[in-house]
Parts: sequence; structure tokens; C-alpha cells
Amino acid sequence: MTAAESITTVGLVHIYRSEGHDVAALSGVDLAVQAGEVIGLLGPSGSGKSTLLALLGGLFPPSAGKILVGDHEVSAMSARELDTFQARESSLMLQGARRNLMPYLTGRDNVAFAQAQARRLGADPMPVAEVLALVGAEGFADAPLGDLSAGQLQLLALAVAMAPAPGVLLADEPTSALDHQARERVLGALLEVNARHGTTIVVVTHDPEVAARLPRTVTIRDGRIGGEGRQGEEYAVVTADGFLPSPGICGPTSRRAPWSAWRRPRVPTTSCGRSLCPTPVEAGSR
Amino acid sequence: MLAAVRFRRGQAVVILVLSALVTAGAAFAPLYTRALQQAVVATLLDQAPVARAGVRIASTSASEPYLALFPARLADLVPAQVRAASGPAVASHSVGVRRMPLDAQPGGLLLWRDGMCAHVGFTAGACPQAAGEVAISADQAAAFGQAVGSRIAVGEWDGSVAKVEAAPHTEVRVTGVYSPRDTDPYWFGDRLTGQAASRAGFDVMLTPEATLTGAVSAPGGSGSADWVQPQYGLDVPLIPGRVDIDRIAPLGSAVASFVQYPLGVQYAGSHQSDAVTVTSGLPAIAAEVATGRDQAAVTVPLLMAQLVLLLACVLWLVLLAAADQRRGEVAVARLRGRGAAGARRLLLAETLPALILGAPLGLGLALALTAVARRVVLSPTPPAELPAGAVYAALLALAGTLALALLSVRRVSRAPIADLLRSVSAHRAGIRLGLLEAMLVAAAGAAFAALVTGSVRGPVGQVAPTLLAVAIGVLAARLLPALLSAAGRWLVLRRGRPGSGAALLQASRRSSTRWLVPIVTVALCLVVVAGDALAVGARNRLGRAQAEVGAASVVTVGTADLAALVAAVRSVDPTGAHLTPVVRISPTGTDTVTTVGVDPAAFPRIALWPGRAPAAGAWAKLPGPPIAPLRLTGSRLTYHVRMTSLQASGADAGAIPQSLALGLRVVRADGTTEVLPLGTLPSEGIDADQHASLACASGCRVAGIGVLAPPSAAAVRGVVTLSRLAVDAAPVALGDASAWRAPTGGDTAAQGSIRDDALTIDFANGGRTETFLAHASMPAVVASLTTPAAAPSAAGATFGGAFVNGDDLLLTSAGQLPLLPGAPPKSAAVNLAVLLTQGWRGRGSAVASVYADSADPAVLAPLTRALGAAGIGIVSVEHPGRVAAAYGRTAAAWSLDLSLAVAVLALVVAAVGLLVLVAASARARERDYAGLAMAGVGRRAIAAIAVLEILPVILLCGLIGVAAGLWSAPAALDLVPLFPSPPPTYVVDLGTAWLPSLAAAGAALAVLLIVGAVASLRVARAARLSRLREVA
Repeated sequence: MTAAESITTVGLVHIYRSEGHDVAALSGVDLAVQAGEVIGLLGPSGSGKSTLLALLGGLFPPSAGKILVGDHEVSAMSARELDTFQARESSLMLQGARRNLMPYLTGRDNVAFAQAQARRLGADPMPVAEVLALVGAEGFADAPLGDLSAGQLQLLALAVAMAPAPGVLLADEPTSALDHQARERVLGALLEVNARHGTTIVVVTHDPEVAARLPRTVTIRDGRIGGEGRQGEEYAVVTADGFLPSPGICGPTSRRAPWSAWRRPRVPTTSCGRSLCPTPVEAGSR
Repeated sequence: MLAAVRFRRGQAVVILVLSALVTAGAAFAPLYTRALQQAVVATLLDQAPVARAGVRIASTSASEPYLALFPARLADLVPAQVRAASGPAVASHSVGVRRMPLDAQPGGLLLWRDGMCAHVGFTAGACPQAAGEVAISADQAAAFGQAVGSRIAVGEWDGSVAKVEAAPHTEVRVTGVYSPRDTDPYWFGDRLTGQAASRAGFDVMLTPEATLTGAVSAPGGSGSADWVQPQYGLDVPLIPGRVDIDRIAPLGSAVASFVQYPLGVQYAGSHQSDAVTVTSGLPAIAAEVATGRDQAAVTVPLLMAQLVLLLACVLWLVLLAAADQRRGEVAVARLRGRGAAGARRLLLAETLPALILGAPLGLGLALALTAVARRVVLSPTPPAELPAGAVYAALLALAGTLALALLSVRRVSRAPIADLLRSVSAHRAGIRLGLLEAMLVAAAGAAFAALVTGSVRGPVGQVAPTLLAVAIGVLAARLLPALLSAAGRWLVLRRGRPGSGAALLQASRRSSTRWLVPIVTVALCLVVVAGDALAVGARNRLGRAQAEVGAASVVTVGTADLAALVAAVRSVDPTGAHLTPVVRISPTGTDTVTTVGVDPAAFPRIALWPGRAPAAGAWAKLPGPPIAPLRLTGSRLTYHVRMTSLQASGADAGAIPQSLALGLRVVRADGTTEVLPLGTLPSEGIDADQHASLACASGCRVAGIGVLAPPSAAAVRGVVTLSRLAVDAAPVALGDASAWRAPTGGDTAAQGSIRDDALTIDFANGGRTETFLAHASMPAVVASLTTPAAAPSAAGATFGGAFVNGDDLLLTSAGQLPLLPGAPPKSAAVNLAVLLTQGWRGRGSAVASVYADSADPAVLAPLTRALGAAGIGIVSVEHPGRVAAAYGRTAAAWSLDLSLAVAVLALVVAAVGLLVLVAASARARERDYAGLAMAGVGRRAIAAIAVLEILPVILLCGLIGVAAGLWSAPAALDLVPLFPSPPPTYVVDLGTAWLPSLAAAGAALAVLLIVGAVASLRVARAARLSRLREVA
């Protein structure tokens, strides 16, 4: 089992080219996640949260800035180092359960497949059965993937992501397209993984309810970190008049998230949550 | 690995099949080539007469008879290679003899041949057993009144016996009368009979060897002696089954050396070596085999390389599609830290087993295909073999497919994970070419340009059509999406046809469209080239056969009497509507012109003119005899002759002959020419009525009249006047002065003049024996139509031809023909009627035949009957179809026959590639169509969109391929040998065979369109709404 790692990004910028134009997906993201912490990245489509997750997972290098996972500077790794990093230290769970699974293998074989490279590199991951039990997928681990429900597939995807026992688990929309019951099971499994192994988990979601279930949530919009909330606090990314609070600057009070797509959070709200205005000291100290 | 293969078993099967086809295509070329070469050897040896395929060793010496080697010694000379390939040799011993007394007696051959009596039939008596006994032919018995028990005194007779009296002689007794079996290979092509039937001489007389080895009577009856010039022989028959493609070349080389140095190089030029002669056609056969092998080495790879290239293209695209289809799996592997190498292993683990397994299957398939070809195409069926070349080719193909597999996974395995996670792979937009594509297009274009300009030959030229199609296909693959996109937008925005427009727009964005373009282009190009090659080959084989045979049917007859032949033909077909007689006179010599006598009215119509027919007006330039022939029929000629005294002419004034003779040159009804002496012309002059025996009861044509002088007489001159000519009391009209023509050339001179029906000949004989006026019915110079090779160097120049009897004929060219059907390259056509003015009984070099405009028995049967009634034997009946079929049994034709297999396989491969590409894009298309269905588009409309998405692509690419094929086929065919040897007269026509090529293209295009439509409809039917959830 790889020890949990902290995650730090400093001035992370990512620009890509689309139809002849440069588009800034991330514009100076500073984020700190403590080792063993579970954090949600909450934002609407196109806000840059998946891009941030992909950068954390080393899928592509940032245009500028630094990414540190534990002692590793992901943004400066060679291809071979990145392979080792992905095999042992960090595991990315893609949006869409099927995209994480080899379609012709059973769940059990998928987990074994995901562990193979880590084993070759000298890691000692958990036994397959234990991984499956961890996420509650042992009951359908030998069934063909085509016979499984979306929730079961998502649990298997989680098992596959956890198979090499990484220090960091990056989950992209793990509960999307799931019904309530399945979502609860997947979230429960994620938290169970963190509880039992202390794995640092970053969950990207656009669902405030899911975010509300996580101990800490950071909002992101237009490629910038907007604010942050802890479980039990109300939060908003922008104020009612469209103001995007910058770190250390509290804007006008907002009692409700302005996006219609967002449902009203059940949690009590405050006019300006503490973590909506994270201080530079807080960001930099992590 | 097995799980992945099972999961995509259809893809695995396709890769397996394509790998097998690539290997089969590569291995089939050497397998078929080998079988073809074996068939060529077997065909040439089977078709060759036994004497040509075998070796004949003869030994005799005119000057030093003791140098001649006995058959046993000859057997020792036979090279080991020849012995190993041959059956039992047949020894022979013979002596040329004539009946005694030798002068002007019929002669023949006394022959002993080991086991000879078992190879003739006996109509009377039995096989001679003892010395001095002979068996004679039935013809000889009939012609010379000999029978069993007859005794014949014979003496040795050949060129070495200078004097009749010097000949050893003996008396032989006839013990048997045989009938020959000339077709028996035992006789090694020798004919035992033929002389006696025409009373030209004795046939071969069979006798025991003791007759030839025992003592005979010495010349002049003074004791005993040996035969002076015995001839020993050894015939070594080849057994074709013992000679194959590996042995024919060394065997031919050994025999060639044996022919040149029968006793070995060390004895070259010695008297003993000169006494031994070896003849064999084996070196020539070996050379023909080598030619066939070289031709097969060009054509088979030409066709198979293009097919293998297409297969490799399709396999490459399928492997690319397979790798592309697994981008998601590669992304998962990469996410789990496997890296590019691990991803490559993951991809290859699924494709390599199918590729490797395909190799032995392909080799087996190639063997099976070769077995079919051996039985169906090649004749006689060659043995089944597995040459090392086929195994090497299969291994090479396997290496090639493995290299393709490695290359195909390179891009996907190295792609950034983020790219792999896209639902559709990022590819270059627009029409810009990648580096590899640009290089391919440039190389292919350069190769084709070099081929067209004639600066390249060999392998690059051979695959030029496919290279051109690949280049065009790659360019089209870049252009077509943009074109489809523009057309789709135009249909949607300008024409208000969203369905069609959407289909074209969909097609423009699919990567499968790009991949489909080169496959269909190359396949159609191959189909067109193959179809054209087959048709051009067949057309040229028939064309050459027509040029060589001459007409739809050509009946060659054995008569020497041309007039009888003409009469027989006219009796069947008086107007020459279907039949026309033709005579071909080929004097011996290498540079002589063959004179071909034809009927200018019927011949152009009945003869076949492959390529192009001569202008109709040309035949009017072949006039018949200028005047009607002068015919005499009767037995007694009376005339009045008056001649003044002879005077000496020239420097030699003495020794004027005492008399000259008046001569009449006639051509008898049987075609023989004869000079009849009509009476004496005393040197002091004469004025008297005379008569002479004419012996022209059947009619004679007058060819000339003049004076005959004794040999070695001095040159004289005189004037002879003939008048009151009558045959059997019937007056003969001598015509006017123009009816008689002065002799040409030499130092003789004669001038004829007519007054009051009296012919005056003013002559100066220059010391010659004959000084004749020629009858003008036979022109001095005959107009002819010449082939290009026979055309004289200057217009109006004369050149030498020949009459049927071999007499010289002075020809001039009145025009040119592209060729003369059925005649050698250097030929001149003359009016047959002109040839009939002179002696028409052949001396052996004339071949008479009847050209018929069809092979219909209704036309030929009456001719056969008429010829039989005239006593004219038929030697052979030839048809262009049979000759063309013979050309079809050559290496060149068998190589070209592969075109059919190539065309079919190209179509199958294209169809497989099309299905694979449809299958590869099926999921995406099903999702798109499901989306349309959810948006309310009806099922039929969706089906129409699905079909419209692929049919225009197939149609456009197909047409591009057809155009590439039609354009490149003639250039590629220029490299393909169509015949074992170049046609002597026929000009090979490589022009595009439009109808067969377009028919093949149309059929192939229809097949691909149907396959594409059916596959697309299946995709449309599978477009269920559940497909939309797969995106999640």
C-alpha cells in the first residue's frame, strides 16, 4: 500500500488550441490537498475541473505552473517516471465506468490487470479479492461486464483504480449517470477507501449534493479556483451579481448559487463562508 | 490475450484471413511459376516429334569408311545425362543401293534396325531372318512388280561411288511385304515409304544386319568385298517423364555440347569426329523452356505483386482500424503505468497470433490454389511440388505482415493518453498530405511516369498500375472528404435536401471513408488491368493465329498440280464466295521472297486480316495474264517453215552447227513444262512444210517458241518464219506481234514479227542452246503486293520470285500489304492466274492450300469430296482457333491466365476491406443513426442516409480506379510477353480492350456497391436507442 500523498498546484495554467484560438482551460490554479484528505472539485461543465484532474494525473503537462504530488513534481517527470508514477502512486478514475475497464475481462481480471504493472515495479498491492471487497464488488466480480448495472460497473471502475493501492486517487465524475442508490454506494466506497487506507482522493463533480458529502469542496469556474467549503457549510462559486471572489477578497453575500442547474443545497448557509476567502497563507502553507 | 481475441473474434478472423491471403498471394507466385515451368517442359517435350526430343547419332565416312563407328561404340559416346533421361536406344545399320545395273535404276535403302519387324505390319510373307533376305513395302511390290520370292540385284549407290562399275553388289530375296507404321515413335520420324508410290525409287528395304555386315560381291564380279560406305546409327529416345524443369537446362547444354563435339572437345576437327554426326532438338527445346521461364518470371510476379500490394494495403488498414478501435483500452493500460511499450504489447498480443496463424494457412491455401490451377489451367498436369521459393515467399510475407502489425500499433501506442481518451481520434483536417503519404504519392507518380516514358523496366514497372492507383487513391482520400463535405453543405443549404446532405457530411468526417478510398481505387484498377490483360492476351493470340493460319479454315493439300486444285475448288464454289485456292512458293535460301499466288477477287474477302485490312483498291493492282493463253489440243502439228542460211555472230566465227532445231515450249495439262522439238533447221536454210508429234491430247499452253542449238555450238544468227500452223488440221492463230515477247537478259536476242499469220523470228543465240520468244500471256515482270519485309528498296525495282515449278519469276511491287495471311513475313502476292501460265507442277517448295471463310462442315465437306474426286490428298486442315489454343498452352498465356484469379481476389479483398471498415465504424454510425431516430427521423430515411453515406464514396473511388486502370494498362502490358517468341508477321495490339475491361469494372463496381449497401443497411437496422447510452 502506497502511503497517501499530498497534492499541491502552484500557478497552474493550461492553454489549449481550439479552432485556431488559444483557450485558457486553467488560469493560475493554486490548490493544496493534504495527504489523506478527500476533496471535491465542484464546477459546471467547461469550468476546467476535469482538465485540472487530468493534469494532476499526468495525462498531459501544464502550460505553466507546478504540480507536486508528495515529493514528485508531476509536471517535470519524464515519460518513464510518469509511467511508474501512474502505476504506483496515482490512479485516475475516468468519467464513465466502462472507460476504465477492459471490455473483454471480468471485474476480477480487470483488477488483476491494473495491478500487473505495479507488481512488476516492485509494489505489493492488496490481493484482488481484498480490493473487490473494499469497494463491495466481490459479488459480481466474475460476471461479464455486459451483464452488470451502471452502479456495479462504477464500483468495478473504483476497484480497478484502487487496484495498485495508490497514494492518490483522482476520480472524475464517479457518480454521474447513476441513480441515487448507486451514487450512495459509490460515494460510500470512496469514503471507505479513504477511511481504511488513508488514500488522498480528489473527486471531480458537478453535483453539489455529491460535493456536500465530501469533507472539503473547492469550487472552480472558468479555470480558476473560486472558493472552498467544508462539509456543513454553504458555499457559492459566484455571488448573485456574478462576482467571482478572489482568494482573500470577500464579495457581496450570496445565499444561493446562481446556476439554475444547481439544486439548492440542503446544508445551512452563511453569508460568507470562511473558506470562500482562503487566505494566501492557507493556500501556500499546504 | 485469448479473452481479447474471443471478444473481437470477427476482427481476429478477418486479420487471419488477410494474413493467409497475403501469404497465399506471395507463396502462390513461386508455386504457380514452378508448376507452369514444369507444364511448359512437359508440353514442349510431349509435342515435339520423337526425333526432336531425342538424340540421333549417325556415323559414316565417305572418304575413310573405317572411321565410321559401330552402334555399340556410338552408345558409349552418349552423355550420362542423356542416358539417364532416355529409354532404350535403337541401333541401325544401312546402305544406299540401286537396282543393278545402277545407271538410271530405282534405288533405296537397305536398312537394319534393332527390332524393326515388330514395328511394321506384314501384308505378305514374313520378317527377313537370314543374310540376303529383305522385306519390301507394299507400294514397292505394286509399283515394281515385286513379290515374296522375287530376287533383286542391288549395288551400293551413293555419292562416294564414283563409277557404276565400282559398286559392291549382291542379290537379295524378298521374304516379306510390309506396310509401314510411320507414326510409331520407334522409327524416330523416318518414313519407310513414299518413293515407290510415285515410282521415283524403291522404298526402304528391311534386312537383317548380316546382309550389311557380310561379304558381298566385289565390283566387276572379282571375288567378295565389303560395302563401301555403311551408315551406322543410334537413336536415343527421350522419356519426357524423366525430364523436368531442373534437368532440361543441363540436359540441353549437355546435348548441345554433344552435338558440337560428339567425341569430346579433344577430338574436335579430327577426321574421326567428322565421321560422327549428332542431331537433336533438345538444345532448342531447352532454349524455349528458358524463354518460357523468363516470361513467367515477368508476368506472374507482375500480377501477383499487385495483388499482394493490395492485400498488404487492406491488411494495413485493417490493422490500423483494429488499433484505433482499441484506443480506449490502450488508454486504460497507459493509465495503469504500462507505458508505450506495454500498450504496444497489449495491441500486438491480440493481432500477432492471428497473423502468425495465417501464414501456414496461407501456404496451405496457395498449395490448394496451385493444385486447382495445375488441374484446370495447366496441361499436362504438372507434379505437385513445394519449392523452397514458396516457403521463402511465405516467410517473407509473414515478416512483412509482422512489420505491418508493428507499424500499425506505433501511433496508437505512443499517442498521449489524453488523445486516446477522445471518442474520435484526432486526425489531420483538410487536404494536406502527411510526409509518408506525400512520399508514397511522389514515388508512385515517378515510377509511373518512368514507365510511360519507357525509362523503367522490371519490377517497378510491373507494379506501376497499382502504384498509380495507390497514389491516386491516397490523393483522393485527402480530397474526397472535402468534396463530400462541400457537396453535403450545398445539398443542405442550397438544395434543401437535408437527408442526402447529412449523409455526405457524415461520410466526409468518418476516418473509414479515408481508408476506403485507396482500397476501392486499387481493387478496381487491378480488376480493370487484369480484365484488359486477359482480353488483350486472347485477342492477340487469336490475331496471331489468324495471321499465321490465314483464314477461318485452311485446307493444305498434297497435290503438285495447281490447275487441278483450282478446278476442284471452282467445281465446289464457282464464284469464290467461300473458298479460294492459294499457293505459296518458298525457294530455299534465307533471304528469298515467298511468292504467294492468290485470286485477287476472293482472297481479300476470305483471308483474315487481324489488325487492319489492306485497302480494297490494292488488289486491282494484281492483273492477270495480259492476253489469253495460246492453247493447242491434239496430237499432230503441221506448219511451214522458212529459214535463210545461218550466219556466225560474235567473235567466234567458226564451227557453225550443221543444224538447229525448231522448239515449242509447252505447259501440259498436268502442269509439267516441256520443250518439244518440232523439226530440224539446216544451217544452209530451209523452206518446207513440216510436221511433228505434239502429244497434247489434254491440251497444252504455249509458253514459247524458238530455236534449239546443240551444246557448245558457236553463236549464230538467222531468221525463221513459221506459217500455216495447224493442230490436227485445225489452224492455229498465232496472234499479233504483241503476243510474242523477246527474251530478257543474257546475250541471246530474238525479235518476233507477225505478217499474214506468219511468225518471223529474227534471232541471235549468243551460243546458247535455247533462244525463244515467250508468249505474252506470261508477262515478263509480274506486279505483286509486297509485305513490308519484301518491299524492294526502290519504287519500280524488280526482285526475284518463283513459279510453282521453281522457275524464276521477276516481280515488281505495285503496293504494300501489312501482312499476307498464312504467309511468311517476306512475301509477295501475285495473281494466281499468272502462275498458271507457267509450269505449275511443284518441285517441292510450293505448298498449295484452300482458304475457306468458315469452319462450317457445310462449306468444307463438299470441298473435301471434290478434292477426293480429283485425287488430291488433304495434308492438314487448320483453324485459327486451334492455333490460338496452342498459343494458350504456353508460359506466356498461362502466366496471363493468372489475371482472372487476380481480378477475383482483388474484388474479394476489396469487399472484405469494405466490410471491415463498415464494421469498424459501425458503433459510431449506429450511435449517429440512433440520434437521428431519437430526433424523429424515420427508419427508411435513416436507411437511405446510411446507404448514401457509403455508395457515393465507392462509386467515385471505383471510377477513379477504373480510370487509373484504363490509363495504365497499355503501359503495363507492354512489359508482358504475350508469346513465346515475337510474331513474325502479326503486329501485337496492346490497345485497350474496352468492352471486357469496362464489363469487368462494371461487375466489380456493382459487387462493391451491393456489399456496401447491404452492410450499411445492417448498420442502420442496428441503430437502437440503447446505443446512445454507450457514450456515458
